[in-house]
Formats: sequence, structure tokens, C-alpha cells
Amino acid sequence: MKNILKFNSVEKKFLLPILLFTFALFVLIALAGLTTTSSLITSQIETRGSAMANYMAKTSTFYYYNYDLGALDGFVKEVIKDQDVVYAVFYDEKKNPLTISSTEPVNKKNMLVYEKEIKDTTKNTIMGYLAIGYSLEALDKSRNKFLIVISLCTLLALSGMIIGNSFLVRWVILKPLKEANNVASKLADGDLTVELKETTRSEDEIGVLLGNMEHMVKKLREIIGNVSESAMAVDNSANIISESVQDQAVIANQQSSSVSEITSTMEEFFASSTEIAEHSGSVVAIAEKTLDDTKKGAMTFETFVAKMSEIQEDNQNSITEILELGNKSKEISSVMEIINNIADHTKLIAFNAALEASSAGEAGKRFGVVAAEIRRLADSVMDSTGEIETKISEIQEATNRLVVSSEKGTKGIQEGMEYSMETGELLSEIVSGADATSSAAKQISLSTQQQKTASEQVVSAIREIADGARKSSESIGQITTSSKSLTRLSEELKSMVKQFSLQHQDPEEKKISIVLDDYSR
Amino acid sequence: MNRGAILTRVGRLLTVGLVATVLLSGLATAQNMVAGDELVIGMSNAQSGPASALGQGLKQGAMVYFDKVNKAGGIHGRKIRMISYDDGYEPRNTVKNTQKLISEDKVFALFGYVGTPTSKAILPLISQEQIIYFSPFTGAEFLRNPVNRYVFNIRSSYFDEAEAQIEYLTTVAGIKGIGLFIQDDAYGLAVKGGIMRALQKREMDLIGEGRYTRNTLDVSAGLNDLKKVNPKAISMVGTYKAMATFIKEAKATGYNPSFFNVSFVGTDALIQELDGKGDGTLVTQVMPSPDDSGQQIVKQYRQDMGAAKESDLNYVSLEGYIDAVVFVEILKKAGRDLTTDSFISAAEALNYKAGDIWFSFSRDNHQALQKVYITKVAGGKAVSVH
Repeated sequence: MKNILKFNSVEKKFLLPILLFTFALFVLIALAGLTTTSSLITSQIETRGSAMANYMAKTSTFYYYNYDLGALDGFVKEVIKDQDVVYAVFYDEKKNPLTISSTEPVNKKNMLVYEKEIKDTTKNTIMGYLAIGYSLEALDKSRNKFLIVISLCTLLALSGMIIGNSFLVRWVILKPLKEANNVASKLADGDLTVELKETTRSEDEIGVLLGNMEHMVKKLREIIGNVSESAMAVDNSANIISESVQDQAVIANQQSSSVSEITSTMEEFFASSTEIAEHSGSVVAIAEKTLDDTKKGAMTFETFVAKMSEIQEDNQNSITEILELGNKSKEISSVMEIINNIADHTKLIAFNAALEASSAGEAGKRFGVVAAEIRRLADSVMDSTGEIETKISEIQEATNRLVVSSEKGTKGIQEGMEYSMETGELLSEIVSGADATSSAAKQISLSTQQQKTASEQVVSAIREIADGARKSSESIGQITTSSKSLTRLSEELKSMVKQFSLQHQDPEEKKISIVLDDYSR
Repeated sequence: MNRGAILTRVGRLLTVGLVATVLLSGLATAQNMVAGDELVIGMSNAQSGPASALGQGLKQGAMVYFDKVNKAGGIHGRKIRMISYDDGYEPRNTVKNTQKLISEDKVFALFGYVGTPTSKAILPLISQEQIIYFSPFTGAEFLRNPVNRYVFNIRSSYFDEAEAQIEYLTTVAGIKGIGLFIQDDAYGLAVKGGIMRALQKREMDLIGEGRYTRNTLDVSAGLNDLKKVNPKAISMVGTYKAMATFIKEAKATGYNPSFFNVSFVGTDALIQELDGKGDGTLVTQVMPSPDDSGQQIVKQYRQDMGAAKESDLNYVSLEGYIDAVVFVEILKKAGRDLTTDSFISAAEALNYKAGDIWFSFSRDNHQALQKVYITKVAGGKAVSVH
């Protein structure tokens, strides 16, 4: 069953488009016909309908004037005798139906409805309306009939097409093609001796095809013959290449291994020089660091010396100040004395005043009190000065002690400064020594770097040689492969050619073909 | 050939000729000429069914007068013979009957038909056969306007009745919301047209409408339609049985507007059907009251009915009687030489006064009377309202 649906024959291939085309054509005809008939019938109904409506509208004006509803109804009765008329109603100007013999249906589908105004022509007012509904049933019927006819015709046409197609394809295409098929199958088997019959040659495309096939066979015979010869020549060359290539391969291998040895040695060398470079690098680093540190040390020392000088100065200043202080306290002492004198005097005055006061009696009591007070005051002054004197002595002692210790300090500082001078000189020597070390280390580093670079270059050069050797090895390998394939191909070619029989086999030919076989190995 | 043979041949020819002449004259009679001592007229109306009172009443009244005339020697030496068929108020039957009357019975005129749809159905036939259509019991406008040469109406039109109704309702009763209950055929529409005309003249509209089918009593649907709108007055266009059913049903559900009928309803039959429940119902009349002995023609009617031993005095038979009276007056005027054309000429020249009722036709007017009376049902009788 599935085979029927497969497109495995020319007949079938033609059949489907033809059937589709025929079908499409008939569908188009059907559509065209339908639309034409539809429009014809509709226009018929239109003309009839509108003519009738017009006529009725005009003639009914008289009945409207006379309120002759009976006559209008009679009109309606007449109109609905026509089978195509579904309904006809006269209305008053408010669209209330006036006639009774026909009523307006609710469903107005599938109907052509004509509405006309019925006018009073003198007053140009609307007296009423007329509505007639024509059924489009006739349209439907004709449409159906048409569809049936068209369907039948389509079926007939399609069957005709199937039969016709089959017949034509067989006669025009398949029969002549049989000959070509014959030849083609013989060719497929390798029989290039085949020849086409001249008798059944027509002048159409298939005839041309057959002619071309004949040429093709002749040409093939020629070509295959040539190919056979060439195959043999190729085979020879392939062998020669194969041998020489093998020798080359050996040499290339040897080269390759030597290069490998050199490369590994160089690599070792490279590795060690890298180490040295690294180490000298780290020496340089240490030297640099030492230099740095000593420089820092020197700087710090200078700062230290400066600070020492500052202390010395300050110390001197303090001594000076203390001496000043000593002098000042001496001055205070003298002032104290003066105050003491004054107090003394005051005391005397006070004593005299008291005497006077006592002698004054009552009037002098108050004055005596005052005098007593003054005496007390002078006493306290003398007490105070005495205290002050004591204090000043203490200060003087203290100041003296201070001066002594300051002077001691100054001495110590002096000594310190002398020592730092010596240290300073030592540091400078260290600095210069470190500097020298640093430069030397740098030199070493540089030299070892240069060594490293040089060895790098050697290594890469050797690598390139190795690469080259490898590549040449590869090429040789490829050539070997190619020549092997070549050999193989020529074998294949020969065996392929053997499949074709180029001439009809007579004993003479057979001999030659046997010789060819031997040669090809 | 011998003489005998010739004579026989001549004889044969003469016979054929005579027969032919008689036949031809017979044909002439049917169309144009009345020959002989008999005037044959044809009637097809509702002798059975829910409108039978109308047909029967009409026939009865007319027959009373025709019999009286015939007893007195007829008109210009001719006796009137009326052939009547029953169409049950169905237009199909009316047509069949009329065709029979014309082609078989060869009547001179059609007399006393009942109904609008029935008249409408045979109108083409009338124009085609050119036969007199006299005093149909209907107020349909199409029988009056445009004037049909052969159609003669005695009673006022529905338009006149409708105008009187609306005038009364708006001015006397002061009612604004007016509804309509109609028979769903040409009769209903004919009166509806008149009502609408009268309303539109007053710039009013109907506020609701209900319908029922001729010769049925299915009034409930229409009644409900109207109750929804609740008009204060309903103009009713139908026959007595159906209208009585409507009024009774409405009153039973507590719905009691003014009910206004047209004359075609059959007043006395309506009162009878209403069975005492109809008081207050209004009816427009196109004939004077059969109880109004003050009217000369009514008096004459009562006398003649009494003489004929007919006790059922009602509007419809009075109308039949009056129709017959007018018909006879025209015959008198037309003279012995009676053709359709001479009848028409006589009719159009008619100027007959019966008491203070004046019957006249003219070329442009084939309606003899114009009067509309308003009556109200009270105590089982139709009483005049002013």
C-alpha cells in the first residue's frame, strides 16, 4: 500500500500536478460560474423586485388617498402569488402595517427586501411605506444545481486526466526510455561494448538523449582506455619515489637525534647560568640594603650630634640664668633689710604713740588702740621679713647646688661629643666600604645576566634546528605516505579499469590484458 | 328532386331558423333586454353560517315587498322572481353562485348580496358581464368610489359610519385612546380605512389593533392584543356572533371600554347573542330604527311585515325591504322597455322621497342614502343616541 503513495514513477509524478491543476481549474470555473449565475439571478430578482416595488408604490398612492385598505390588501394578495415573494406589506406613515394578507417575518436572512416610500405627490408628504421581500431561494437552488454539475464534471475530468496521463506517459516517454534504460544498465555492469539501435530514434528530447548516450558510450571506451595506460605509468613512478624516500627518512632520523642531544646539553647550561644570575642578583640586593642602612645610620648620627650641641647650649643658658637668680636674691636680701629698718622704726613710733596716748587719758584711748595696732603690724612685718630672709638663704643654697651640677653636666656633654666625633668617622668608612661592595655585586650580576642571555640565544637557535629537522622528518613521512597512497591508488585504478570490457573479447586481446595484469603486480 | 323533398328541406330550414331566433332572443334577454312577463333577479348571500341572520333577514324583508308588488300585478305587467343561493359568506361560493345565476338562470340583475369580500370577489364578473349589482349589504368604498356603472348602493358607506363613530367618540364621549378590532379580510380593512381616515383628519392614531378570522369565534387573541394597550373605546368590525363573543369575554375579564359596531354587525342578532350583557354597546346604523313608526317607510314596513305574518322586525329585514322598495321605484321609472341601460338611466334620475328619507342616484353618485344614526344597546333594544 505504501508503494502506491511513493513517487517512484514518471506517471505518478505527472499525475499529481495534473490532477491538482485540473482540480484547481474546475474550482476556478465553479467559482466564476457561481458568481456569474449568482449575480445574474440576483440582478434578475433585483430588477423584478424593484420594478414591482416601484409599480406598487406608484399605483397604491390612489388607494392610500382613498383609505382603500381592502384594495391594498388585494394588491398584496396578488403579489404574494409569485413564488419568489416571501412577504409584502403596506404600512402607514408610522410604519404600522395596514394590510393583513402577508406579515413581515422576523428572520430576514436570505431575502432581498425592497422598501419604498409612498408619497403624496401634491403635498410631498409620506403617506406610507411598502416593503416586499424576495426570497433568494431560487439563487440557492441554482447554486446547488451548478455545484452538483461542476462536481460531476470535475470528477469526469479527473478520471479522464488519470487515464490520459497514463497512456501518454507510457507511449511518449516510457517506451523510448526503455532502450536508454537497457543501455544504462549494461554500462553499469561495465559492458562498454554496448550499442544503441538506430531504428527507434525519434527527434524529441528522448531521441536526443539516446543519441547522446551513444556518444557517451564511445567516449567512455576511449577514456577508459587512456586511463588504463596512465594507471600503469603512475604505478611505476610511485615505486621509484617510494624507494628514494625511504633512504631520506633514515638520514633525517639521524639528524634529529644529534640535535636532540645538543639541545639537552644547552638546556642544562642554560639552567645553571640562570641560577648564577639569580644568586648574584640576591648579592646585589643585600649589598644595596647594607649601603642603605649605613647611610641611614650616618644620618641618624649627625642628627644625634646636632642634638648634643643643642643640649650643651641649653645647659650654658641654664647656668647663666641660675647665676642671675643668685644675684637677684642678693638684691632681695638688701631690700629685706630696708624693710626691717622701717619696721623697726615703726615699732618705735608706735611705742611713742602709745605713751602719748596713755598720757592723753580718755581722749587718747582710741589713739592708743591705733598705736597698739601699728606696733602689732610692725611686728608682723618683721616676722614676715624674717621668714623671707630664711627663704632667700635656702634659695641661694639651692642655686649654688644647681650651678655645681650643671657644670658637671656640661663636662659630661663635652666628653660625649668627643666620642660621637670618632663614631662619625668610623661610619663614613663603613659607608664607603658598603658602596664599593654594592658596585662589585652589580658588576657580577650584569655579567651573569649577559651569560644567561647568550645561552638563551644558543638554546633557541638549537631549538630551531631541531624544529627544522623534525619538519623535514615529517615531510619525508608525508611523502612516504603519499607515495604509498599513490601506489595504492594506481592499484585501484588498474583494478577498476579491469572491470570494463573495452573490446569484445577475442583471444588476441585476452593475451594483452593478461600481460597488463602482470605488469601492474 | 320532387316537391315533397323540397318542402321537407324548406321545412327543415325554417325550423332551424326559428330555433335559432328563439335562442338568439334568449341570449338577448340575458344581456340587455327583458322580454316576457317575468323579471328574474338573483341573490347569493349568507343563508347559513355565523352571518346567516344577515342573508336571511335581507331576503325576508325584500321578499315581503316583492310579494306585495307581485300581488298587485307586478311592474309594468311583469312579476318579479328572485332566485337565491347560499354562499355562507364565503367569496368562493359567491363567485360560483353568481356565475350560475348569470349563465344558467340568466338573471337580469343581482340583488341583495351580503359582504365586502364576497362583493369584491364578483366585482370583475359584474364589470365583465355588465350586469346590475343592486343594494349589496356592505358599506365598502370600492363599490362607491370610483363609481361603477352597474353597482347601486342604498346604504351609507363605512367611511360615513366611521366618521360618525369617531366624531361621537371624540366630541361626545371625549375619548382619545381608540383601538380597533377587525375581521382579518376585506371587510375589516374596508372599515379600518374609514376609521384611519376619520382619525387622521383629527390628527389622531389608533392605539391598538386586534383581529379575528371570518366565520370563526376565535376572538381571544385579538382581545388580549387590545387589552395590552387598554383603549377606552374599541371600534369593532365583524359579524354579530363573533362581536358578541368578544364583548362578553371582555366584560367577563373586567375590561369594559366603549364598544362601537358598524351596521353590518347585524344589530338585532347582536343583541340576541349578547343575551342581556350588551348594554352600553354602540352601533352605527344606516337605516332608521325598525321601531320608529314615525318614519313613513318604517310604518309601511311594519304594516307589510304584519300582513305577511312576519313578526321578526329588525334592522336587517327593514334594509332588505327598503332595498326592494327602491328597486321597484326604479323599475317603475324605467318603463316597460327594460334593459340594463334603461335601468341605469332611470336609477341615475331617481329622486324618490319616502317621508323625510330621500333616495337619489346620479351619474357620479351611486349611493342613495348618506345618513348615519348612532344607537346604543339598552334593555335589549337599540336606542337612538343624539
